Amino acid sequence: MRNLYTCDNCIYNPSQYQDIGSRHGFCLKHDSLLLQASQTTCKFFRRKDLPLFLAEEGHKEHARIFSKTDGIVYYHTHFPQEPKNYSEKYVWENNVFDIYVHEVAIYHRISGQKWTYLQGLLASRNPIKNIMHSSLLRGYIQHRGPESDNYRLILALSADLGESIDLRTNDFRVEVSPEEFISLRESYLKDVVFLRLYAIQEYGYLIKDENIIWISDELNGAIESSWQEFIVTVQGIVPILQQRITASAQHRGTFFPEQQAKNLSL
Amino acid sequence: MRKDNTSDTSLILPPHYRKDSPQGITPPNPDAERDIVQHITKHRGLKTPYTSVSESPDAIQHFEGHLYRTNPHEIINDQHTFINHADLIGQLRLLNQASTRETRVLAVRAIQLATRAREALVQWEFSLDAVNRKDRIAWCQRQIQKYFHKV
Repeated sequence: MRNLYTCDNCIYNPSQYQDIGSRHGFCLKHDSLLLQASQTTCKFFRRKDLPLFLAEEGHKEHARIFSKTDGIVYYHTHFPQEPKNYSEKYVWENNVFDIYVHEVAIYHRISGQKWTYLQGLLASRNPIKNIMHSSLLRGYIQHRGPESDNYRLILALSADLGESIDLRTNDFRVEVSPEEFISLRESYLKDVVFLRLYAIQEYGYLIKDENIIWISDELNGAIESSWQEFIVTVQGIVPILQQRITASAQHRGTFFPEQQAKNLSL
Repeated sequence: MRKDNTSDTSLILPPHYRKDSPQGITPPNPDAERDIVQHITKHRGLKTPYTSVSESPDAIQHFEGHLYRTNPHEIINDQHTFINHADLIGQLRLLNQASTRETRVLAVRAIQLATRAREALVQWEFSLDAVNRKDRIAWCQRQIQKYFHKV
């Protein structure tokens, strides 16, 4: 019913997730503003709301359906959405500046050391920043591939995983009544955590470590519990997760090799 | 698990709703695997033998598409299966507790999506023996439109 294959559910549009996020999106694949992200898609689409290794079959079918399209297109008609490059001048002149879109556009344009920007997005109680971080991290880790062991980025994410998140009415990109907000709040809070967990699971898949891929098992059905109980359960799995990530990196011999440790001096 | 195409005629189901293309309701694929988690999460793509509806138009008001209304009893009277929201969530909870690791991850996603949309399912029970396999989706598309009315 909800179209799960539109830009508002794609990791390459980090500042939106279904009903929450910035009013407009920004596509990292096409370097374009997304003006109607719930109606558009493209052949490179990659779901936010599932780990990559569970969504690949759907991605392939989607890519086949849109194989003859170029750029961003409307889902039902396949008509192109005119590319709209991000311009800081334009958004201020037209009073559509959005801090999240701006941050994504900056991330897109910086060259090299993107991991430092990713680290800077951590330790925020803001759900949109959390979603941006997990989306950008998933894209970054996949792009770098298994040769580049990004366990440190994943460890840093794990340290933030059990922290509370403040979801406000303003974080919705659609109009929600106070009653709707109450009914949706806990569900979206849990989803913010799940999106972060998917980044960790995808990392586990990339390095072929079953203990990290299926860290989700440790939640033991907590989805049915209240947000307060859920986040306590998440806090409980953090040490287990960190032990698994560390042991896995040590096993591969990538855990702070001597030369790297000297260079960092941290 | 009880399904609502049983003889329980005392059960009164309210109208249900769906957002879909203005051109009509997206057809099911009657030959696709019958798997409610796959249908709700669409993790293997869009082809499933079910049609989703919602017990609340408010719950799907932000979805794209045209709003349609359907009467579950018309569907049930034609021998199709209607899985109401409560039963659907019950089935997903069982899958979350007792299935493979992969299914548990997908079941959690399905619970999130189905709960937010107050989703219910129609499982179509067409007799397709006389319909060529390649024509079945188009045939189903024609058959199901009569159950849905634009709001």
